[in-house]
Amino acid sequence: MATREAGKKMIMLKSPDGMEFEVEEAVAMESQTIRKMIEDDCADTAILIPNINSKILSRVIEYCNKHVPTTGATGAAASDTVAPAALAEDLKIWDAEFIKVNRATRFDLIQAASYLNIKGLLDLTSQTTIDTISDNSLEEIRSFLSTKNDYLPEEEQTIRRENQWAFQ
Amino acid sequence: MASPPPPTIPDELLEEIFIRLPTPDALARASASCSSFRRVIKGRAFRRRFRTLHRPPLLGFMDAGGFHPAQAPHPSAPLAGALAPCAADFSFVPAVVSSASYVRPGVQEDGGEGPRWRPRDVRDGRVLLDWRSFYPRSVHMWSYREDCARRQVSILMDSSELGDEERCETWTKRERCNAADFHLAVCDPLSSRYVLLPTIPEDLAAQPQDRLHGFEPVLAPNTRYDGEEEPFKVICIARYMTKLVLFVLPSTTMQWSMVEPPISPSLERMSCFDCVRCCFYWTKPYGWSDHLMVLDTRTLRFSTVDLLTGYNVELSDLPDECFAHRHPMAVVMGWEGALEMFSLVSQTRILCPLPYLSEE
Repeated sequence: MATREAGKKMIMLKSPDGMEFEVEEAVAMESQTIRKMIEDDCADTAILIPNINSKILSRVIEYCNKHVPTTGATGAAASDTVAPAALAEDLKIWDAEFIKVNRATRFDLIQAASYLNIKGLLDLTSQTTIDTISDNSLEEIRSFLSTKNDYLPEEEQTIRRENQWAFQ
Repeated sequence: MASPPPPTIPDELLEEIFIRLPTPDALARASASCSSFRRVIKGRAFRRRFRTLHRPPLLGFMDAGGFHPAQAPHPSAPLAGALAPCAADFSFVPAVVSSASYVRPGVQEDGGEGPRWRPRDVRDGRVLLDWRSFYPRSVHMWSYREDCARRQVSILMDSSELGDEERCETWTKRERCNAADFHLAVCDPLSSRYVLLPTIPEDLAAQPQDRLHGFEPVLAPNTRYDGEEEPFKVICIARYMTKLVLFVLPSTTMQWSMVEPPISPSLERMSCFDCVRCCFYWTKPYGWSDHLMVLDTRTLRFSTVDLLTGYNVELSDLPDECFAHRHPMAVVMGWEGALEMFSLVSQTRILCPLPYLSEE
């Protein structure tokens, strides 16, 4: 990260709790929402990101920082030293480590990824959630997504009957 | 450590999560877990998105004999099994009442069933039905075994159905000659939705001024997968004694039109077609030929594909026994999207896929 050349355009991102993050424009533009703001010239030097607190925003920036070179140059610049496959593998390991967060943080990240429109992060966070719930029982799905069974008993029976095939 | 209050997840985020569920059964389980999940999953927008991301699962095959659900270990087997009872039940489509549809008195074969809708073609979850109103059209060249009895049904291939001299005698002249007498419907058995197609107008049906010899309705495939109410197109291949005519009805207009292709292939005794990428392919039901007939459903033009392999000669030289047990050739979408053709000769011999052309 220290190798980043000087003279790159920087953007200031502000969280609602008053923290400011200075990031490279290229990193910020990992977010399609911010990219659009920049391209439409709606962005001054600082962009306020509503609804995303500094803790989550810093994690999002961390993700974008990690992902910016590969998505930008399709690995061409990096391939001199590291094979693209190894690079992708490295990124995968990094992602797996990155997403080791508690449930509440993960949902905050999904929400942030959705708002900021960062496809890779949205895929990562949602897919991790899916991987956790797809093979599990109803109770586990409910507990994982923090929801309660709000069906009436007879209602649930009907739905279970209709979907019997899915529980075999 | 005290756990923080559980975050409530807005619907649009639930959508983002559920859209990634890999299979319909995972989706069904999620929808059974709470009502807000079910609301999201049942939403039109969500279902449309899910369909564009996940190809609809193969549930089974349908022919005039009914629905044949996918069997284990196919991943769709549980779903297909659950849907099997309703998949081939067309009783929700209203019966046709018209002077042209009658049952010959005294005919009680085919399980004693009376007039009914019969599947003629299946594609993209839709079933093209024709009204089986009279006895002769239920007996065809295609047969399969069921409960030790040999049942004959027509699947897609019944080019000889109208050529059966014995049966034709029982037909009235009007039925034999008029394309306007065929009643067709398109339905989705899983949602019980249907469209009754208008019959081909009399004046249009009379235009070929020839004797109708064969009538094969097919459902042209969709080229788009984006909407819920995707358009479809019904093409009726009408063989006359001296020419071949297509009657076409797009769902967008619900109006029949007639197309006389400039190149009309000799479809005499040709049958057994497959539909791959908007094109129907015909091969000869008997004997081997070194070419295929192609109907492009988008342009409604016929063309010929020359296989140029000499393969047909090789096959003709096989012992008679193999020849007798041969199955129709099949045109399929092979690896990497190339069209391939394969054939089953006798019970055990599969002749390997034969890549003969790739899409331009």
